[in-house]
Amino acid sequence: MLKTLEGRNKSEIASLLSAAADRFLPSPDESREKSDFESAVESLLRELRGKEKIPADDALSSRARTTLLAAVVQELRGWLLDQQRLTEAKARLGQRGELPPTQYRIQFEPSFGGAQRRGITRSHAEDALINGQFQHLLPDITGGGSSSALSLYTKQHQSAGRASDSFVLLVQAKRSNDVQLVTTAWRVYYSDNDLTNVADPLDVLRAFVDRYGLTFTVGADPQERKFILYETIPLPKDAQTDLLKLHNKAGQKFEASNLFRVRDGVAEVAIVYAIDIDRYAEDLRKHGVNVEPLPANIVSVTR
Amino acid sequence: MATSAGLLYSTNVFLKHHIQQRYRKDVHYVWCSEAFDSGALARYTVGAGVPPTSNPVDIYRDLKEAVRRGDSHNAKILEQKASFLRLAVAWLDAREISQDESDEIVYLVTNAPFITYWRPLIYVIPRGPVEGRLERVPAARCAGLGPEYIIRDLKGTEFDLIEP
Repeated sequence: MLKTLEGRNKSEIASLLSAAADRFLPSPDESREKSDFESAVESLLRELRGKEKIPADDALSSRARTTLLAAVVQELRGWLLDQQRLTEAKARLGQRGELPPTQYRIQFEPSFGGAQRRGITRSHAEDALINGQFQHLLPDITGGGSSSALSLYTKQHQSAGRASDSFVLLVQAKRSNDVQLVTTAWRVYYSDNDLTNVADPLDVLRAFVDRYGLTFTVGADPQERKFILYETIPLPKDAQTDLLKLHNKAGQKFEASNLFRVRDGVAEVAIVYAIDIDRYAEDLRKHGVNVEPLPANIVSVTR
Repeated sequence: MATSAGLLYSTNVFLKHHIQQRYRKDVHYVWCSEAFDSGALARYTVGAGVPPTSNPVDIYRDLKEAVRRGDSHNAKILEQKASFLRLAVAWLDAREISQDESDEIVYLVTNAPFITYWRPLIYVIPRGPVEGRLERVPAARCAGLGPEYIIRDLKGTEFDLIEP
């Protein structure tokens, strides 16, 4: 620890280092406010000059000034945030979708196995998460619990061969603090989907569901839908009624993404859609994708 | 080329815009000039006196190059880091932000990736609506002879962002 800082509490140290930083910053004010630490700041800067081996006869050349300012910033950073609070700050930012993409940790949910059977590897998904376009979603209606924080990522893949084989890789994840839990991913082909007016990853998902989605009803709402994002839907009073009723034909395979929680007589839905997987697999095979035999149904459900 | 009498220009990093938008209710503190590129102005116009350290286009080029090179010791970026850290302390002391918010600012300032968070943005500010709030920077505090201004409470709706 620097001698000037010894015997002072954290708050005093933060104020002292702030006052030292202030010496280097442009200010429009004619007379800069004198801090309570003028002599301590002088002592601190002398000490840092010595530590950084800035010659005594260097009256702050631009190089010396930069070195000294970097040292002040380094000290400030160390004192303002310990490892515990740094971890907590990162987690909060992550949950709100305010972390830079490269700072999320990536994990895969078991449901990602469905995407792997359709030729999408973990590295494909990771590439989209790190290098793709992203959209972090948070509900306006449910107060944003961790289970309802979704992120969508897209990465364009241009085919070197047939133009019709170019697609957008769409990756869906749940945010849990600074972790992205990848739940599924889809190849969305330009030639099969209407992507002419899409502006963001959510538009891509909507276009994809519009083509391959199956209809369903939720709770007491009789309306048939293909896609729900962040809605609160009343539950039926009759306990026998299905919470989610999918309108698929007998034996028709689907892959569903359902994320909701039930409380106080309502379903707080983060996202619901179900893909007609046979129809989608048929299109994938036309593009030369090797689709492994698909299990009966894959349902990614979080209640 | 002349100054555009109706506009003011300021160059700031994306992180500054983000912090002021997120933690200061979208109220921005800016240091601005009448010309985007004083070097391109006729020699005897007033705005032509703004030196490189205050000239928006020179600040933009300096930051852009620093980001391209990943130069974390660029003087302007270091100044910005020091300024945000100092402000995180000052705002917390003044109870204008919470401890959590202060921590988040410190996290972002010290961990945000260079390419995305330190990239420069240009603020284009229509002068009319802010005329009454312009504070002329005292000559002794200006980097050169040209006029420079401070706006302490520029609202997010009062300027456009350009990222060439």
